[in-house]
Amino acid sequence: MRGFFTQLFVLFFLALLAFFAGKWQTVYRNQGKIDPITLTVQNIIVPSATTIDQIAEGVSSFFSGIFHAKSLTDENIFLKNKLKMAESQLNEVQALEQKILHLEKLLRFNNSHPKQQKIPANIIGFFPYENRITLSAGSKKGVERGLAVITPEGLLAIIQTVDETRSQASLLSSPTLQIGAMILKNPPYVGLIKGEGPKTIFMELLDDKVPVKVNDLVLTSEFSEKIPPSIPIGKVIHIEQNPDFGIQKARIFLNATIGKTKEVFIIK
Amino acid sequence: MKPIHQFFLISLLLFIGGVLQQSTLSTVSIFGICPQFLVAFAAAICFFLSPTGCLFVGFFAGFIQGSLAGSNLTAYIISFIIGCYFISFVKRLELEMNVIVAGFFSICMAFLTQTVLLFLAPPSLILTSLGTAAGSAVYDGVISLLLYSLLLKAFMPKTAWQ
Repeated sequence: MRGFFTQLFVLFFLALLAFFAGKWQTVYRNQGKIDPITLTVQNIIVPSATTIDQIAEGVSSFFSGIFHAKSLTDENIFLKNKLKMAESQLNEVQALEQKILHLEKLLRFNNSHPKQQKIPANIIGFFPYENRITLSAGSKKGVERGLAVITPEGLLAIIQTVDETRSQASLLSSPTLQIGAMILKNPPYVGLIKGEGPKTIFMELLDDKVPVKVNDLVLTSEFSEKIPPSIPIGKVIHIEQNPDFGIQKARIFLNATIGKTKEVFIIK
Repeated sequence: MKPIHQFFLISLLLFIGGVLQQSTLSTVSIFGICPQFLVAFAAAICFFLSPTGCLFVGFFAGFIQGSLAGSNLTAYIISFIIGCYFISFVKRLELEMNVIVAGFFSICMAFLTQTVLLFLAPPSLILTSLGTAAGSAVYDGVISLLLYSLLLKAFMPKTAWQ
């Protein structure tokens, strides 16, 4: 009987404690806070619970991986294929964007040179060892030998042979081609450029005192009947001095190269 | 088992119960019913304690549950105290205690605890909540039964209820 009263007393005491704990909690809650004891309990338990969660997730992922290995592998292969397709489409889109940019430049170039007649053509053949290209325009459209083939970046080639519907042109990089050009200085220096490789040409300067510098621009000269003046060719990338012979050689990087373009203008 | 060892074991079990209750394991539902780990742990522990010990276990289990829930501490503590005291009452009936009987009374205790809690902090749909409490009680009973089997070895023969 005595034990029962002790229990009753403890029960009452604990219930009273619970009542005051609840009241205390409510006071803090009304202030928008968490009471310190609750906070302490949460601070002790929540980090361990987070660890348990992480372990449980790890175990779950592990078994999920084992039980769904086949479907996951299939899904992985499927997604890889999808990714390849997406990458391929992205490349296609980028190529199309470049083409649009190129065409826009071509259009701008056409508008900026209104006096000259321009014959639009496509490059339909490329022979890298011969440094020659075949164009889709021929004598029917007024193409003649010696005309300049240009892209928005600058001079690309010179027409060599003409058919009724096609023509062939030598690229500036062709060692067999020599044309007049000028290095943009004040006064400009005029000379002949000659092909050297797929992207470079050189210009021999017969005066070793000409103050040519790297990055000087090279344009077409004014002394050709068929090639219009001031069309960009490239820029100087290297100068070789030869004081024994009193000459210097300027290596020029071409603006217009075959890989960049398919659509060109033939300027008449 | 020495009282001090008992104290640490019970504290550890309540801590583990709290951690499990807070973790996502408590959201693992069977037929839409989730377990109440602290109720289950408290029920299993109380089979090995005196009535006063049960009252204290109920108090602290309710306190942890209420703190984690962030809701009314009073409701949680009182419901847990009543639930745990129910176990000490069952022990007085001098039934032949085994795992099945302990499991059954754990279910009853869990149901009682949840029901008292529902009345102390009344929800809007009492019948639905009672159904949920009943389901959860079965869940807790099974967990408690498993824990009881383990504790039987730890507490026997000195303090186990004969």
